[in-house]
Amino acid sequence: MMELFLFVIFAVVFLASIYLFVRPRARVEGSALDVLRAREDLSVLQSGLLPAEIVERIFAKADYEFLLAESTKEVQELFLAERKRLALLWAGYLLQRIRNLQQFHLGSARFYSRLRLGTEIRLASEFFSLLWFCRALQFVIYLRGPYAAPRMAGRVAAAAATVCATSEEVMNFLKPAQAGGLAKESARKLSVM
Amino acid sequence: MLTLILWWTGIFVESMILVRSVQLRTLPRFPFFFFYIASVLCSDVLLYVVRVTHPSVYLTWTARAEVLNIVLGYGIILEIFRHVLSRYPGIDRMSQILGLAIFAVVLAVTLLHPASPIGFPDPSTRKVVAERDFLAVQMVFFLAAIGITRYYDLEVSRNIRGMIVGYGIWLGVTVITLELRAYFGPMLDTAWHYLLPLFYLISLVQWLRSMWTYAPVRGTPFDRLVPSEYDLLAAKTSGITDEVRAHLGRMARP
Repeated sequence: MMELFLFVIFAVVFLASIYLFVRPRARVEGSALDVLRAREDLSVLQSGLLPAEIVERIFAKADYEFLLAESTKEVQELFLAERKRLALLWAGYLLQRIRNLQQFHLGSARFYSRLRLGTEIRLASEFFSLLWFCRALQFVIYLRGPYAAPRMAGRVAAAAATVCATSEEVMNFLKPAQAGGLAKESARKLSVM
Repeated sequence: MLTLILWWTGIFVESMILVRSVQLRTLPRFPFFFFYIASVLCSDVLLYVVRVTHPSVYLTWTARAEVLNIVLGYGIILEIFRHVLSRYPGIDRMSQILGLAIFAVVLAVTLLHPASPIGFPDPSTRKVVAERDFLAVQMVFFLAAIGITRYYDLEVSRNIRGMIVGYGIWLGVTVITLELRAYFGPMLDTAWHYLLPLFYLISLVQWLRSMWTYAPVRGTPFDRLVPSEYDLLAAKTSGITDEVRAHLGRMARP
């Protein structure tokens, strides 16, 4: 019975992976245009969506404490629900950013002819654990609300800033690489001619 | 009657796939795949002749043809690997190492649990179990191929995509059917004799659809990063994940 169960589960997982394989998804080519898009995305994040003050404001307890003293229970509940929604949106956005970063890395690295299995496995596990952590964070906010971790706001701002700053560094360094690659391609084409 | 209709339709679709390959001159581009189709077509035609002229030896020859076609099925996986990975030499090299690792694991499992079909008293069930094991190993390699392709989002041509979907559907359904047949015994033979040819026909139609025109992948990739740049990219990406994890870890602690 166990063998039957294992084989059928394995085959069903296999068929599901074929379905996932066929499903279309956005491609990250690692091209100069993608670097440009990623940079634009980063710029919007840094200047408009993830400055420390905004993140601190989302997770700040001051507004809630004010409402606790001054308003009815209904208003407090409504406020808590809205803040929770905001916090979840923020966590989801962070998750998406890390995914984008991973895709960007894969999109750039796959063209490299001397990829190392060890390095790629290590990076894959790091991304996996980070994404898992983000999901856990979403889960904690979902269960215990936006004020589950009191020291969250400051750390969030710092983490966001770090992600943005380091991503920017990666993109700065990749820019000349793209140009180098294109130059190499042009040289090859010229040599063929 | 239904079996015969499925059989003739299968022969027709297999012939059409080969005719299109000659018309489009794609035979040399996908040699393993077309060799597999040609082998299946020959088996189907010959088995039909044997069934009509010498029904007593039909089952023996069916078993031989099945074994041959299962072995040739590995050619399709090889074809997929060859076409998808040849454009990405780094991932190709990594996949070879991964393939060897999978082979070592399969070998170790086979040595630890030798000849599992021997435990079955019925010879037809023994054959079914052996086929199932063979195809399950194919599934592992196939999963590795599509896993790598999906993870790195490698570009796959329409032809190869169709090859993957067609063979994947057939492989998955066949393993489930064989496992059910091995567990429940000959009582499932009737359903088995209709289901397998039906799903095989679905795969053939999928192959015919995807191979109707030749669709190569666009552009030529090139080695965009020099070694030091890859090291830097890997180190920086790793640094980002470490820092973010550290920050998040501190955040989660009240």
